[in-house]
Amino acid sequence: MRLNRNRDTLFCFGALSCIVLPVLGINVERVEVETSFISIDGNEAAYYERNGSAEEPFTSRFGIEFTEEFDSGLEFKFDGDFELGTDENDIEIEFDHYDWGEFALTFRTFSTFDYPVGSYLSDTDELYEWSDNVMKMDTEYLSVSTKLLREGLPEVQFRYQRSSREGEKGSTIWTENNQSRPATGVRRGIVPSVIQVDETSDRLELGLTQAVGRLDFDLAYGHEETATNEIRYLDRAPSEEESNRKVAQTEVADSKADYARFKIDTKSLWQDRVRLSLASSYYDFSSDFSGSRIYGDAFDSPYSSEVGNRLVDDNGFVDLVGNSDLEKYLSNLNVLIRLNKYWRLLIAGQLSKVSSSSYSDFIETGITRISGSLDFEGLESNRDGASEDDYDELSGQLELRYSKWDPLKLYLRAEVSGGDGYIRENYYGNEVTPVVEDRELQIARENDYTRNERKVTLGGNWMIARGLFFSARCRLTEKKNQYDPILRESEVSSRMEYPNYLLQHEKTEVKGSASLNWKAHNSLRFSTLIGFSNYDLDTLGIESDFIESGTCSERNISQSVFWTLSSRCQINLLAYYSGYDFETPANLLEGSVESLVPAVDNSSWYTSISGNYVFKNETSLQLTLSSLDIDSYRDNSEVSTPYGSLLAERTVNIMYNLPLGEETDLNIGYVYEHSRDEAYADHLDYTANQVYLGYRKKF
Amino acid sequence: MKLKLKISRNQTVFSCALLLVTYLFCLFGFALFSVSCATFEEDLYSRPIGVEGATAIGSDQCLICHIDAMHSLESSAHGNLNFSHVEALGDRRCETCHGAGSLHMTSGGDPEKILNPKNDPEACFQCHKDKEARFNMPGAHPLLDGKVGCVDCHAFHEEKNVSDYRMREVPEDEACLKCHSEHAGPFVFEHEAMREGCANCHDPHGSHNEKMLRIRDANLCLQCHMTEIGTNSIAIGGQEHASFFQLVQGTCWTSSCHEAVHGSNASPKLRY
Repeated sequence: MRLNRNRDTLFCFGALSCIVLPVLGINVERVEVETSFISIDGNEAAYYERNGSAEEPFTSRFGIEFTEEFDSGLEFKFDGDFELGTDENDIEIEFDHYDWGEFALTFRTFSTFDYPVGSYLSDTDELYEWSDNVMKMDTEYLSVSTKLLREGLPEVQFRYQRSSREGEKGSTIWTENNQSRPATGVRRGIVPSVIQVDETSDRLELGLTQAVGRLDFDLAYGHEETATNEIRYLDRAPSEEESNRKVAQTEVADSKADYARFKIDTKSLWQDRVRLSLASSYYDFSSDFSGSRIYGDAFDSPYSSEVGNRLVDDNGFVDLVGNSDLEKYLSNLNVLIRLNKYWRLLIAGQLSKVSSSSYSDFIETGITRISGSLDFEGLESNRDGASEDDYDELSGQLELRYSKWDPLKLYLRAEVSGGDGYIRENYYGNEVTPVVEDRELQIARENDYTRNERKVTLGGNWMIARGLFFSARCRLTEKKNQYDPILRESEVSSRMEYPNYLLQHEKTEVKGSASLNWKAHNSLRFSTLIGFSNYDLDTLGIESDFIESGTCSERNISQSVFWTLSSRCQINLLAYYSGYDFETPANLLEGSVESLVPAVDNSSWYTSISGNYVFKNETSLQLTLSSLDIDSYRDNSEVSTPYGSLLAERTVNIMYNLPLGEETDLNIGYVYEHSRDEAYADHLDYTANQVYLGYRKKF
Repeated sequence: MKLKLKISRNQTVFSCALLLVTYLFCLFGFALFSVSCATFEEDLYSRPIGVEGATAIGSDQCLICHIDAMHSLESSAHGNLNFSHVEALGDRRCETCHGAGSLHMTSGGDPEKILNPKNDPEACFQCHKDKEARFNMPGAHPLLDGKVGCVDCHAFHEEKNVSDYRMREVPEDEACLKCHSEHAGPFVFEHEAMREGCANCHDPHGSHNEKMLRIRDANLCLQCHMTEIGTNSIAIGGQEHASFFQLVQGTCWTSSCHEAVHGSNASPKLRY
């Protein structure tokens, strides 16, 4: 428990309010108090990550809401929830005057939690975790908005928003555990990495809205400033002292953006047959950034040209500075035409133009073998990179809706988009020690590209009979991206031409869903939803033929039942299955690398059943059982790294509600959770028992 | 277009599940028909979704205060729905998602007396049951914890339009970049896949995998980057990747290979 934290001060404020305000005679509308205790047997960090809660066995929550109306017509409202232990607070303050407008303040804090683990190696029974504690990321959000209403004048809106995130989270950028090679000849064992985040964003917006006849005009201008400071930590070969090196990659950016938008909206035109809206916007973004990637004995090491434990490929950089700019213009049009009683036509079009440029300057660091020796020395080289990007796109959509055969409603939607642009990238530097200012062109890439997409969607909604409703939709998507690498120069090696080696991507996707909602009886409802998606992706590279580089098949089905057994008893059931198959030609590899990248074959089941029974004395009992099973595990440890999980989760939630009077409740609850992941040989397993007690009164 | 018919284990399970559901469907219906029990429409103590004690009033009543929302609804993606399946009595479009509105109206618009998807995803889960299940997956946004809401990413009433100032390359990504601005760029060396949208690699509604990744291993990258394959070799960009130093290490984005999957300011190969 950290009582010196501002968030805990908020909690104390909230708790005090709950006691003081009713005593002072303030018009309190809601008071809530809840406290809980949890006991965990097993991996506590895994539990806290899964449940999004802090490492606190005791948590408490207070909630209060009150309003006050003044003779002048001003209404004041306060709504707050304060939690201790989970660091979640939510405050809303509103002043509302029917003649002048409103003022609102919202302040919200919450935290997310992460327990990054690497792979589990069954042959050595090793699990690589960064820490046995859960990592925490604090998010704060503040919004102040006002709306000024005066008759005969445009409505004026002003809004200020500040959002921030601070803390740590895991990453999927893993690193190796050791340098030594086991008998298989494979360097393996994956250790998680961590990202430390500190970012703040401030945004101001001023808007005007005016209605003129049947037209609504909306004009807004805004300014945003964002500051981010991210450090990614990688602990490479942590289990071998002679190979261990710690990497810290820092990325700092200060960004500014100005934007403006204009919108015209018609409620109705031509005898309510047409609804139209037009909008345009401009967005101007610029960012100054700096950074470094440093190898050392510790994460906070300053850069040193000493070789240390670094290996040949352990490149980094220091003193990186740069900037980037982006401009975007966007205009769009939406028209709804009520052709007659049964036909509706929707037309939408959008034109966008984006251009950006970026530049960076830095010293790249690495090591190289000393000529004529087996020893290595540090290598530094001055480098800079620059890029330009320009892209224009036009897209359109046409949708026709038909409802003559009521209660059957059909729709057909066609979408087309096409765009073209170019990317130019240059990379300069030299590889001499000591560093010299002269730089030579290392890589020059210029790529013209076009992107085209077509989608056709056919769907319908049909009320077959009263209480029986069927809905279905099917969509075909064809996408083609073509790249024309008109400049491919590299002074380093052909490797560095990456990724300017692709000529074409073609993707074909069929996606559909169907649902049936059946109110079989006033007391029984069914809802079934089936969905599927299949796609093929073909790729053409330079000096090669088209290959089918990816095929995907995904399907899911969910079934829910709501059954009112009596006026006092209800049951709700949900069952869900999801399957996902994905394959690339890498699955066909043979020899020593067979099964290196096996096909993906995932499935999961989720079921929950909940019941609610109201006793004659008005008390009620709620029981919820849920289970989740995931099979996405592939033990690939013979050639690489095992992935996925074999997860089984079971949850029981029992809550007894005791009305103490009109609008006053006492809740007593118990939650049991059990989680087991066989893929991690039970290292992540936990069993948790939680009890809670809550009081709620509405005035 | 090429369509293949392949029956996998999962598809078999899927088919069996479908049959089971159909069977259960019929069984429940038959049992109910046979018993012909009394209705419990009157005075339920609680309802599946809605405000306790409230009754339906029809969308015309909602129009009095919420005319803008009603006008744009017809142009939105939800505009092609047939709402009459909820109650075949009059137009109750609004109350399909927001619950019965009588108490909300008589209280002068008390927000406590109406369902709001902004605060409670249950309104959306009525139809999008699959999403409810997916948000229970280990890799999912904290929607069920109440830390984010459906409306943080989706606009229910609005047509495609300039509703936000963030005019990024892919409109759908505006929702992601509101919180994950560090991935927005522009970078000196960009990853062209960013133009395809965040959802190309991540499933924002929940996934089996860390960071909501659709695929947990190198297959995710190979689907776009593989151009040549031999019996024991994979060429990417003219370079062999099946050997010791490449795919054997784990994923393509394993440390020092291609960490900067969202773009880089220092490496043309997106190494870091």
